[in-house]
Amino acid sequence: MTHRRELDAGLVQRYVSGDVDAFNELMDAHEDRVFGICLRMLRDRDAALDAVQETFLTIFRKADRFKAEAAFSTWLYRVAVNTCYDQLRRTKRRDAGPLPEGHDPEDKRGEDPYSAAELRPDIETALQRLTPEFRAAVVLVDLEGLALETAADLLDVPTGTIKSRVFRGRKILAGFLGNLAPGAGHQIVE
Amino acid sequence: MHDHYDQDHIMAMAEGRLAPDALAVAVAGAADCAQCQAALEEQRAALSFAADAPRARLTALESAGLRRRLTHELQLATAIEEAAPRGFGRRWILVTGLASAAAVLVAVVAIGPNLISFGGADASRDNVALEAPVATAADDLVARESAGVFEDSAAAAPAAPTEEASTEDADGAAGLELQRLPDDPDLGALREAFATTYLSGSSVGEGETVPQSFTVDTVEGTSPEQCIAAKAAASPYELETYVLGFSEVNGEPVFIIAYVETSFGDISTTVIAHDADDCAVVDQSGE
Repeated sequence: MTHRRELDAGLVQRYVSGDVDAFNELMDAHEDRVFGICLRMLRDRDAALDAVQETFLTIFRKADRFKAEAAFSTWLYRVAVNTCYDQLRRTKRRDAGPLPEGHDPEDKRGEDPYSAAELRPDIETALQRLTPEFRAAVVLVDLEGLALETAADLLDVPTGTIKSRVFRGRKILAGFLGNLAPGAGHQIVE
Repeated sequence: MHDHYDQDHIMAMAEGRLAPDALAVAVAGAADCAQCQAALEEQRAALSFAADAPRARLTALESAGLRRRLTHELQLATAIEEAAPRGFGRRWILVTGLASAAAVLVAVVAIGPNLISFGGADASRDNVALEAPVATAADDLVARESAGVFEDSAAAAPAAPTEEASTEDADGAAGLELQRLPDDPDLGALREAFATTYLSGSSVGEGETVPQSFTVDTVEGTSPEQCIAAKAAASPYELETYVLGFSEVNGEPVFIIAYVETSFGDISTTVIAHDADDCAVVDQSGE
């Protein structure tokens, strides 16, 4: 068992026993990573914050059911990804509905959800070109640095499937970012 | 000339997972293959972008706000849980609440009132009825229920009448009921109906997830409990288990079981044979 995994298992136990410090330590250890996953899955900072809150609520409410045989982080990230899938589905359903009469869609071009976090808008925009399943694979493996096996475990798909999604996701990203042409730099090609 | 490199090989090259000698040979080989070269460049380029991507971080204000909201919600949830009478805290199936969806209702009536829980993690969760025995396997199941195998069986919804006789317990209350399903049940419909009812229940609240996939297994087992125990033991996560009904496959009595991985909201529906020798999965198919 790795040090982090062991530490998390102990923290979960302490939290279940009512130790408030354990809550803060778990948040310290994982909130940024969960936020990173959610932000890159959803692109919208507010939506990502909602997803992070939902994720941790689910986790803490069910902490007593956590079995230490599994890595806490795997459980946590899996709930995070599923929460994001859920939000994306809800957004898709909502977006598919007719707009009320006289409704003018909000112009969000002026808002850049990444500027506050100093992220790279081109990369984040490119990520949104991927389907949620491909995006999740690329985010977890290439951006969050998880092993293919771990990503496969938390997405509940075979390792080969994750490998294939990462491979194809990278291909799409590379094409979209247009860096293949010599001297093209990191410009987005649409 | 060489064959095209496969995906694994190209990924290994791009990620620098090959030993220097092997990498040199592979790169030289790829140079002879335009397709391989292009794929390698794509992989490397995407990795380079990923390496350049800064880590996303919450601001201190966002982090503080998040923790404040979480603390509030968790305290609220605990207070509600403590205030709720035992057995009524988290009703998981709302059969009557589905009246507006006619198509769903039909499916739910077929199975909804006949779900029993096999002692998932939440002991306060309501169970619904298991109908009177109609076959050997059901006899045994009811016997086990009488022996206290199943957890609290207070009926959350009235059981749909069936052609089989109902049982009554010593207090005259409706006994557990299990509905016999058709010999060749439509597992897809069962699965969908179960998922719909489960997801429509208040136990799947905000912040929880919808199922990502369904699986139908056929599992041989010495008893429903043993198979369920084996299944639960094989999972590192907590499972809730429900019997949807029982039927026959190739003349063998089988139980249709639904599992919910409560941590993730994943739902799977499993057919287990009651009289077989072990709990091996003999058939598994996706959604």
